[in-house]
Amino acid sequence: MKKKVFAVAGWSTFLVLIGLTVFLFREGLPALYKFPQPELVFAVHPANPVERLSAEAVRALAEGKADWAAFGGPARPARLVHLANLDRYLPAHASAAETQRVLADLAADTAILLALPAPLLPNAAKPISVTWQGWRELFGSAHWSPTYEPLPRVGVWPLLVGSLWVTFIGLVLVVPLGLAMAIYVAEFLPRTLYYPIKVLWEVLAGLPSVVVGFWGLVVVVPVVKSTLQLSAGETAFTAGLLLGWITLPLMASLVEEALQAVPRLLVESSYGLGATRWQTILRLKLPYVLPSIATAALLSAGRILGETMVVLMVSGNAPLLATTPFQPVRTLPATLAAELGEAPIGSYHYHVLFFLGALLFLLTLTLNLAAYAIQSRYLRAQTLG
Amino acid sequence: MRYKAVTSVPKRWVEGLATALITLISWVALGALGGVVAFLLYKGAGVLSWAFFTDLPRRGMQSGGIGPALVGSIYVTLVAIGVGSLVATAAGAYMSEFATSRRIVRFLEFLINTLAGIPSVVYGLFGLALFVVALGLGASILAGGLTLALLSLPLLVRNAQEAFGAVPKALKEASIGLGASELQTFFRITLPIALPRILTGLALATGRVLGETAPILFTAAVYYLPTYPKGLLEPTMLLPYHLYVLVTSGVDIRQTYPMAFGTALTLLGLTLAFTGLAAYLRFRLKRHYRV
Repeated sequence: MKKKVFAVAGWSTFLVLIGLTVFLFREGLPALYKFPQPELVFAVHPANPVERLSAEAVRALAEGKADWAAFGGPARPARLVHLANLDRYLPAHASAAETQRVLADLAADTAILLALPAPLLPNAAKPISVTWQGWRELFGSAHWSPTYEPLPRVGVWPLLVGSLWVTFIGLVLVVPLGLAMAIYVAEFLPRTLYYPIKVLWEVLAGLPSVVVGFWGLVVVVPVVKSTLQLSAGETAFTAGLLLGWITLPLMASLVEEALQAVPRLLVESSYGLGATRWQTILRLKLPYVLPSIATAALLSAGRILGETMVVLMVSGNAPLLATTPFQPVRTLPATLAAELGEAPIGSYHYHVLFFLGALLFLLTLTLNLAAYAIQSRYLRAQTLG
Repeated sequence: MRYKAVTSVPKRWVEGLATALITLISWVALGALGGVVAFLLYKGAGVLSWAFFTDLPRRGMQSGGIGPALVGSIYVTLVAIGVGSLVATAAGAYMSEFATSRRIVRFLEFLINTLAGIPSVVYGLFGLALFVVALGLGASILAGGLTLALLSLPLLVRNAQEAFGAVPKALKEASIGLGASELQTFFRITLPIALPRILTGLALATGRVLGETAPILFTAAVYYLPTYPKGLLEPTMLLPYHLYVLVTSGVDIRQTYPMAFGTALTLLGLTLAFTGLAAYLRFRLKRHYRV
């Protein structure tokens, strides 16, 4: 039956949604249980009684914040040898035999902590196990440096907070200004201009984000820097400003449509009772379309949260925990765009980025479902009442 | 509920001020749009030439043209719109014409709204995991095009459904009444009448797809490849990514800026052309159907 073909195509959106969810979580969930550096063996001196360390302990030892005594070893600070600092101990172009000898010497130190691939490990060293708790690493830390050696830091808070700041600034801009534009177009715009302005809205909404980012970088960033006297113009504020601007058409058109749909009977009753135009707008129309305003705001938030290129270009790309919006930040989508190209497929970094993608997916999904819930609940109530 | 009587009438000048304020806001927001276009025209128009569109990037992308990026973008967009339009038109037809229950249609509409709200970078991740890795297409025109096809699906399906729904019922019923089958009616009556609206949606989607950057970052784009793409399974340069590269990672940013302005202007021109075409078509259609 030919009609089956249509049915399959009709359900293709369902397949896409299922596929998207499956692949995001299939690649993202390993970030919770996989060990970041499966090819590395952690080892200590045989006289060191330590058998197992947490990832946090390894970091504390590596950074000199704790010594071995804290974990039941000798009362000496640890000396970490791993691939990234091996050149401190080895001459350039060392032969295999020379490497073996130097490493064996190093392993004779009772305070040694080795993090090396198995073939490089001296025979005398005692391998220990290092535990990695994905949940705690992802949500219990405020540091994001996923390629840090020997163990990465993958705390998502700096990125989440960055995304929140940008979305917050964007919303503060888009909600009042979008309302103003919607009221203007629905109430005061000469009818001959109605169609042209809708086209302009569409053009604004369809601006390629990379072009907006470029313009922002060249024009808006220097202006923000000099007006606010900041050390750098690339901030969460700048990104929020630009994103709020390109989201205005979405917000404004949703509210405008709702304003046009307020029943004539109510509007004319209001005028008939002697209300002025603005009284009718503020006391009848806006309260009447409140659910639509909420829906539009939620959809705008989702759009701003997911925008990638503008943020990547004007937000400064610093994955640090920002306490004000006037600092450089790095958002979730920007992190994906900036780092996924460099993360080897199947590596821990790759899985963590997919985990972030899944997180972003869930966040935007929640916003959209909330918008949908409000819309279906209140719009039905209004048409019945 | 308790109601409070409104006894005061607002001063005329307060209302006038409020009106002036929202007028100002509306036009300033659109004025900024004009600002972007004017700024890019001013800075970028001087760079544009036939050679700029056809030449390869040269001297570390500081001179030459954007030929491969332009052609790559066109290929990827063709794949995306080609695949997307076929699937979406069939899907829209199913939802508008063939689905047996209203509940199924409502559910599919809900799914489309959900898909429409998913950030484009997430589609990029999906494309990477599915097309590039699992199906082994590698970063290629095909993988990027298919990713963008998925991205444009919500817009295209919704548009096709509306297009079929706008075909007058009387015409379909007349066709059925004359003894045509459901499929004959669809292919001979409904589809031809709905076609202009479907094409409008395609133009709009083309504009969107051309400007998308995040989904093609990991599925199709390469940083620098000074040859024209030779096949569907090859990676390529693309206009939006090329612009991003020029702006953020040139060896000497000052030297690459003229190239960046030219590229941005080209990209803007292309997307505006398609968005404008869509808007114009819709305007024409509205006039036709209002009769």
